[in-house]
Parts: sequence; C-alpha cells; structure tokens
Amino acid sequence: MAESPGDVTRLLQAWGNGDQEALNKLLPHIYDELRRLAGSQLRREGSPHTLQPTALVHEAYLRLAGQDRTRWQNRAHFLGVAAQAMRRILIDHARAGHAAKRGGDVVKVALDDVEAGQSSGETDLDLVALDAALTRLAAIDPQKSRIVELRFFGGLSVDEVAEVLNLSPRTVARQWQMARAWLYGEIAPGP
Amino acid sequence: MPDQDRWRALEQLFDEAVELDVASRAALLDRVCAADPSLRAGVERLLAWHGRAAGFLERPPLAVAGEAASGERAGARIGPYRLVRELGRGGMGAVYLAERDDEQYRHQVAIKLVKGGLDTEAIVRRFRSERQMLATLNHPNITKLLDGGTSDDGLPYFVLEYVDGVPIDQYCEAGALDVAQRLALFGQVCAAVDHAHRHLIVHRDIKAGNILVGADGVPKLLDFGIAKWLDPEMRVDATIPAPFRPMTPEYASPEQVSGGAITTATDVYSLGVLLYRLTTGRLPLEFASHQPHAIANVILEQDPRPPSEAEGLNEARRRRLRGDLDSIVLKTLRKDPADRYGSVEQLSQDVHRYLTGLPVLARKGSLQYRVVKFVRRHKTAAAAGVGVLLTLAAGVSATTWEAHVAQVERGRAERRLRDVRQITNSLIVEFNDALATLPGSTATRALLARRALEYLDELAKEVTTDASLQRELAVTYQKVGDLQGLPYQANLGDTAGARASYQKSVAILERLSAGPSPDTSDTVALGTAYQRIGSVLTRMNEPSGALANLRKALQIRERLVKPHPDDRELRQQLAESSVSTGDALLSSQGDTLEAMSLYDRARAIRQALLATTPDDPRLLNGLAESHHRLGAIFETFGDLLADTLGPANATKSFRQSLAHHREAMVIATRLLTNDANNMGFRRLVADATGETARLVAKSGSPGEAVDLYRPVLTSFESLAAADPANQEAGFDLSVSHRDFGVLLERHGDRADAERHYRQSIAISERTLATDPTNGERNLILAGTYAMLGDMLAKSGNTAAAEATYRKIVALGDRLRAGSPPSPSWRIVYGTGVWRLTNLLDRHGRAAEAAVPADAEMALERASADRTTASVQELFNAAQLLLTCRPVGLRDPRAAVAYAERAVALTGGKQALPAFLLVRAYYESGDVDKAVKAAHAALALLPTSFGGLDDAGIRRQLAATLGSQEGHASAVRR
Repeated sequence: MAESPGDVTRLLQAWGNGDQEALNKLLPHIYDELRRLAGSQLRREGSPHTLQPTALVHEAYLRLAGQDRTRWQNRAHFLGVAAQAMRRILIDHARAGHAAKRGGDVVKVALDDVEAGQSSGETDLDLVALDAALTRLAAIDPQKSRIVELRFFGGLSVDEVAEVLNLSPRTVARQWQMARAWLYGEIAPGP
Repeated sequence: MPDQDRWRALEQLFDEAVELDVASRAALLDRVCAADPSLRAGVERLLAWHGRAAGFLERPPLAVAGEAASGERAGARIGPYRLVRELGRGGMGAVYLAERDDEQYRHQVAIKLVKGGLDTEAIVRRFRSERQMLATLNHPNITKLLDGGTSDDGLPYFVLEYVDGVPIDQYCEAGALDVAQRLALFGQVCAAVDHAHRHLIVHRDIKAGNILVGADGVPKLLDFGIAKWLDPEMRVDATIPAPFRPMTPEYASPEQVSGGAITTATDVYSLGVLLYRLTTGRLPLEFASHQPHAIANVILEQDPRPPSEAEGLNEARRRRLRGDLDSIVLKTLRKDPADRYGSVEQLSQDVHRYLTGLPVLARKGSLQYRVVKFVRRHKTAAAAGVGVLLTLAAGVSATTWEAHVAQVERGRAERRLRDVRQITNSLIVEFNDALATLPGSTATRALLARRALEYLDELAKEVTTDASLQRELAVTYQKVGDLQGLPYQANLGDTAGARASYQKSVAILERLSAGPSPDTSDTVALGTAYQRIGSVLTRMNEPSGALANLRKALQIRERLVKPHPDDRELRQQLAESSVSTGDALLSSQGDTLEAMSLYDRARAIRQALLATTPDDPRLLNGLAESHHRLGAIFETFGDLLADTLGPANATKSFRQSLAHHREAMVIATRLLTNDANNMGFRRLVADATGETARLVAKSGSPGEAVDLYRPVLTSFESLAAADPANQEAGFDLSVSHRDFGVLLERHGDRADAERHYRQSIAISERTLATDPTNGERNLILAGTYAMLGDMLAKSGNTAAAEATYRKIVALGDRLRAGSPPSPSWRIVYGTGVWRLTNLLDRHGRAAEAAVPADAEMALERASADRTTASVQELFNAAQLLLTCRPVGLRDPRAAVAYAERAVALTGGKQALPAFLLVRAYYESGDVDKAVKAAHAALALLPTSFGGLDDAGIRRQLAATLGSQEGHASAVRR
C-alpha cells in the first residue's frame, strides 16, 4: 500500500470535490495496490487464471480505505478510480505479453457467445484492440466509454455504475446497450 | 467520426428502436429517416451489431496462458508459404518465420499476419499503412517488403525479408566491438532512419530490439508497426491520451509520455538512447518503478548522466567518451525537442566528425544551454534575487525592508519546506510501507521520522512571518504525527511522539487563528489536530485528557458549522466529534445525559445529510453508529431501573433501546445489500442483529430473539471458518456462542444454552492458549464461566456450578501471577470469589465461604479507602458491601460512604453510582434519603422516564430491593 488509508480517503474526498490533481495522486496508489493483488495471478504462466476485477477491487478497497468501520467513505469514487486502474493493469499486461515477443501469456476476453456460428465456439479478442476502441468511443461519447470501463474492467454492476456516475440505473443500462453494440461493430470480426 | 449532433440523433433513434420488434423498427425508421438515409444506415448497423452482441463484454477479462493460441498457426499455409514458427507478436498481429517450399531451394521469409478476431477496420487500416510504408522505403538497412495478400480465411498478411540476426546491442557485446565499430554500426542505423524521415515516416519505436544484425554484420531496422506518416501540419494524435500510446518506456521521449507533438525529433531522442546503450552498455535513465506515472516523471524530469560517467565503465572507455561524445549524446536526449539535433542527418554527421577527429557541433552553445537550464531550475531563487535588486533600487524604507526579509525568508523556507515535505512524503509513502514488512525495521522508521521532525523543528524557527508557510508546517506536523501513532492505522506505535507532533501543529494553528488574518482552513485543521490528540490519548488510556481535547475539537467544529451551515464536510466532522466526545464522557465518568444528547445530535446531523445522498455509505455507517450508541445508553438506563425500581419501570427504556438497535440493523443490512462482498458490513450486520436480539429478549420476546440471532451465529461461524488462523475471528465466534447461550437461557432452553456456553468456553480457551494473559479475552472467558455457573446453580446443579466458579478464581490467580500482574486480575478474581462465596453460603457452607469473602472484601475496601480511589473502585467496594455473602460481612453504612464519594466524584452526573447510592441508602434503612436519591438519579435519565412520586418510589424500592437476594446484580465487568 502506498499511502496510509487516511491519505487515500482524503484524496478520494478531494477528488469527489472536483480536484482533478487528487486523482493523479490517487491513481498510482490504487494502481499499485491492484497491481500487487493482481500480480500473483498475472505472473503465473502455463495455466489459465480468471481475474475477477470485482473481488480485486473490493479487496483493494478494504486495504486502502482501512477496515475500521467508521473510516471508509466515498466508495463510489473509489470504485470509479479502481476500474480505470484495472483497465490499465490489464492493458499494460496485454502489452507486456505482446512485447515479450515469444508468445507469452496474453490477456484475452472470452467472446464465445459472439459468433455462435464459429466452429471453435470461442474467439479471443486482444484487449489492446478493445482499449483502443474504447478510447475512440471516449472521443465521441465519454460517458459511454466510462460506463464500459466501469462495467467491464471494474466489474461493477449496473447499479454500482449508476452510483459512481450519479446516473439512474436505467440510463446506465440504456447507454451500456448502445456502447456495447458500437464496440462490437468496432472489434468483432466480419462485416 | 460522426459529429456530436449526429451521434446524439443516432443514440436517440437507437434507444427508441431497440425496444421495438422488427416490423415496428422498420416503420419507425421509415418515418424518421425518410430524408436521411445515412442516419438510417447507421442505426440499422448498430441494431444489427446489437443483435449479435449478446454476451459480448458481459464476462470479466480472462488472463490465460497464450501458448496454445500462439502455436495454432504453425504449419498453416499462407499463399505459397508454410508457417514454421512464431517469431514475435506486435500490437495487431504476429510475425512468423515461413518457407516457400514449392521451389527447389528453401527460401526463408518473415510473414506478418493480422490475428484472427483483430481484423477490425481500424487494425486493418493500420496494417495496410505499415505495408504501404514498407513498400515506400527502399534502403539496405530496412527490412524489405517482398509480397502481400489475403489468406484463405480472409486475413491480410505481408511478406518481409527474414533477418536471421540478433539485436544490435547484443551483437556489439558478443563481438566485443570497440567504440569506433559501434559508432559505425550506429551510423548505418541513422541512415535507415534518415531515409524513413525523408519519406515522411517517423518510426516511433526505435530500440535495440528492433534493430537486428545478421551474420553479414549489416543492421536492419524492422517493425514499423506503430510508425506514423508525418502530415504537413504535424498534427498531434489527440484521440489517444498519452498513457495509452504505445511506446517502449526506456526509449520513449518526453513528448511521447506527455502527449506532445511527435516529430522526427522523437526518433532523434530514441536514437540517442540507443547510442548511449551502444557506447556504455547502460540506459541513460533509471526507472526505479514501473508505474506509468513514475516512468513519465523520470523521462520528463531526470537528466541523464553523461555517458562517460555511466556505471561500470573502465577508465579507457571513460576517457574515450568524455567530452565530445558526451556532448553528442546529451544533445540527442534534451527534454525539449527544439534543443536536440535538427535532423538525424545532423546527428549522423556529428558522429562522423567525432570519428574523424573534427570539432563536434554539439559542444557549440552547450554553455549557454547550461546557463539557461540553471536559471530555469532556480526560478524561485532568481525571482527572489530580482526582488532584492528592485527593493534596493527603490530605496530601502522600513516597510520594503520587511517585505524583503519576508521574501528572502520565503524563498529559503520554501525550498527547505519542499525538501522536508519530500522527506515526510517518502517516509509515509515509500519507506514506511517498504520497511513495515521487514522485521526489525521499526527502529529505522523511527529514525527517519525523527529526522523529519528535526528538519521541521528547525524550519519552524525560521518561518515566523509567512502565514501560508506556517500553515504548510502545521499540516506536515500532523502528517508526521499520523505516521508516529495515529490509532487504527499503520503507525510506528509512538503515541507519545504523535501527541507531541500534533501539539506542535496545534501551537502553530492557534497562533494563526489568533492572528490578523485567520483563515477558515486553519480552524478546520485545528479541529482535526485536537481530534487526533484526543484519539491518541484515548489509546494511551488517559480518558480525562482525551475528553478535554475532544471537547476542544467539538467546540471548534460547532463554531465552524454556524457560519457554514451548508458545508457537508464540516457537519460530518461535527457529527464525528460528537460521537467521540460522547464516548470519552462515558469512559471518563462524565455526564451520561450529555453523552446521550451528543449521540442524538450526531444522529440528527447524519440523518439530515442523508436526505440529499441517501446511499452515502459513510453517512449510513455513521447513522448506524449513532443508533448503536443510543441503543446502548437506553439499555443501560433500563438495566439500572430494573435493578433498583423493578422491571416494570425499565420497559420504556428497553423499548427505546430496541428501536435504536433495530434501526441500526436495518441500516447495516442496507449497506451490505449495496456492497455484498464487504466484510466490514457483514460484521456490522452481525453486530447490530446481535444487539437487537438481546433487546428483543429483554423486552419479553425471548423466542423471537433466538430466531433472530441464529443467522448471526452462522455468520460468525463462516467468518471464522474462512480464516482459521485469524485469532480475532475465533474470539468473535466465542462471544457469539455465548450471546446465543444467553438468549437460549432466557427462552428457557437450558440444555441448548449450556451447549453454546461450553462451545464458547472451548474456543476461548483455545485462543487463550497462545496468549494466556490477554486481559480482554480473560474477562470474556470469566464472564462466560459466570453465566454458565449461574445457570447451573439455578438448575440446582450445585457441584457443577461450584466447579465452574472455581475456574474463574483460577483464571484470576493466573492473571495475578504474571509479572507484572495483568490489570484485569482484580475483576476476574472478584467475580469468581463473589459467586463462589455466595453459592457456598447459600448451601450451608458459610465457614468455607467466610475466608475468601473476607479477603476479597479487604482488597476492595483497601482500594476504595485510598484518597485517589477511582469511581470504579468506590463503586465496586460499595456494591460488594451490599451484596456479598455471608450476609454478616455486609455493611450498608460503609457502602453509603463509598457510594456518596463516587457520586461526588462524578459531580452527580453519572447514572451508575447515583443508582447505587439509592440502594445503599435503602439497605442502610434510610428510606427517606433513598427516595430523595432516587429522584436525583431519575433526573439523570431522559425526562420521559420520570413521573414517579415519592409513594411510587417507596413502593418500587420495597418491591425490588426489599426481597433482594443480592443475586440479580452481578459484579459488573
């Protein structure tokens, strides 16, 4: 853990109050913490491991914000930042896999339901491509991109996303629907 | 890319259409898009994708080993080529070694292939662009494009000249090339890059690994995968934020990490890194951390050492590099692209000049560069210098002189403070955590903290006029204090030191708030400082000091909220202050009613704040906490009333307590529902439910209480099972078994109750085995033995009860034997002896009881007779004198004396001794005084519990105390 829980809490608060600088200070700590949590799983080779962002994010939260019951706060903000960090971890890892240039482990996403007709039943999608598509989406519609980031990389439920972005769950569900369709068009094979 | 309006239109139509069936969709689109066929096409495309995207992105990302995937294509045919093995992977595809085996001789090539699943429009576009670039370039040091096409399964590919070589740096090391040979190779690389630049292509990923040298000694530049066409306007690729741009950190230029414009100077920088590596074997910058922000920081801020000063060089190599080559390399690595060579050709020429002994261009102007850089670095100091000159020119009047002093002080102090803050931050951020995991590092950390404090103290002497610097100082002192010993987080355990640091912060902030320009933030910080002193003192078991400081914090926050009634953070702080002050009041024998009203105020504040943010977990947690405290206080009132004035008078109190506990339970459940994986919330729900169940039982529904509690026990069981090594979880489970036993006993289910009591005891004894003198756990175990013994005694199982009580006495003896004796020994021992002697006496063994009872009495009285006796000690002695057995040892008059002293000590504000005094008067036969004292005691409770007249009180006292066996009120733990 990079900073004491109190500082993380303060930074979360400051960020919640619109201080963007606080986010910059916060991100490395959360990134570090998540990275450490994810590290043992990511480093292992040879056998598949499921990364469960939700579990990681919650565990990181407990560690960062402290377990003292009266101390935690701004969970919504935390989850928002954590999802972003999660995205970075997974993308960095995917890049590291590419950079290794020896067919080392690569982070992929299961797309088995996407192309039902495909013989293998499962296609692997490089997260780097998704990341790039998500970045393009952000240029057009930042909110949708954020929703995908929170749901997919952060593992948050629709309700949690709604809490983080201060939207109604209905709005989140609607936006998610379109964002997903658009991203599918950007990434999936075929016309 | 569609523009915003178009996107919104698309979105609106999609949202509407997606809800409809196919026929209605068509009708909708016919109606709306009649004049805009491209909008219609866009929506239809989205709808089609939507139809196929079920399940897409619904699952979390998986990390799987990629071996299987990478091997899948070996042996496959692409056009006339057969893939042999994978050579590597890039951002969009993989490179394979391939053979054309339909010819007489085997011709080896490299094939780059888009990976299945990645052939999106954008990737394919980039892939084509790379192919196009390679087709454009024709240079002996760049891999040649041989062929290209589309595979049978529709994936684009291209064929390259295969370079069977090693990365250029390895080649240099392996061949032990001398500097001149290395520079010659580097010159060829420059030629390749220059060629690309002349074709308006920036490579962007020049590094040793992308330059292979074959057996023929010719270096070849490869992988144009992230290369980019330079457009005439040098437009920045703004859609990709800097951290997500592909790059190799070790070779990345400042503009690549900061999101600046990418130009040919970017490649010049990377070539500089390569040159550094080739001449020294090292990289110019060292990355201690691989966090993106840290890498960016190093690249943007850190100046490389000149190559001649790189580590691990022999003296001959140093001499060779010193001077001209240093200048050449450093010029390529300048942070500002404009300070580098204007082109790769210029760099290449300078290297050539060096090799032929001509003066190099890089040295020209390097002095000026250094001066400019110096000034840039010391902007603050330089500005202060200018300030001095100006004031001198204007004539030194008294005021400008003061201003000058302040300014000089500020300049100096600012730098020092920056240093100190760096030190403290690294203490808190880096060293502390890194060291915390190392055994025996506490001394080192303490030393670091002391060093930071020395700096701060010195600085505090210098900073005497500048308010904002003093403010910074105060905040830094607080930080150091947190590090030293803020309870409930990782600290050095130096609570006394923490207190001193906080006090220094307080001193500065008090001065500032009393000064001419007080700032609200000073007052806020002052409140925080007092609050922290309070929690440190609580931890140090100095309740009265804690109370004084917490009260100060409370008063400050009250003052702050008044003019800022809408400041939510201030109100939250006020609520938190109220609760901790209430806690301190109760533990320092303070005013019970005041504590109650503080808790209630916290509750009201939190409730009001929740109106706008109903799901704010911090507030919900706080509200649950307030209700919990209120519930506990009302329960205490109820217990006192039941013991003194009979159970009927306690009903109302218990009902109120129950209402608060129920409310806490509802809130806790809501928190857990919102965040089902949160262990803290699971604890909270279990605790709140347990409290509620107890009050349900006290309110007369023991059956309901048992049902309510059952899942709590299960919950603690699973928490303990999840982490068998966790002592705390085992301890919680033990308490939970006991609490459940109490409820079962109340429900009349003695056999089950006994089973749970015994389970609780077994677990407690097990956890105590590793820590036999733990005071808190011994108290819990003693309490459980007492409950079990009492129940056995009531069931008539005297022998078993006696054995159980003797175990308590034995626990007390064990605690007493420790060196030093555990402070809990008296309570444990007293509980055991009191019960044992009562039991023996009631069963005709008064003689046996007399000795230990007498000894215990002597002990308690000796403590209470000291002039410095605490409220607790006086209370214990009085209670023993009223309830002990043999009855002959009782002395209600002496009890009155002790109780009166206890009441006086609390200023008549605490309910507990006040009620004991009522009883003491009554049993000493002074009913009038007892009635009077009862009025006084009742006045300490909320007014709603009054309403008894003298006659009523008399009746209740007679009914409750007159028949008292001395059994109901056990010695309170």
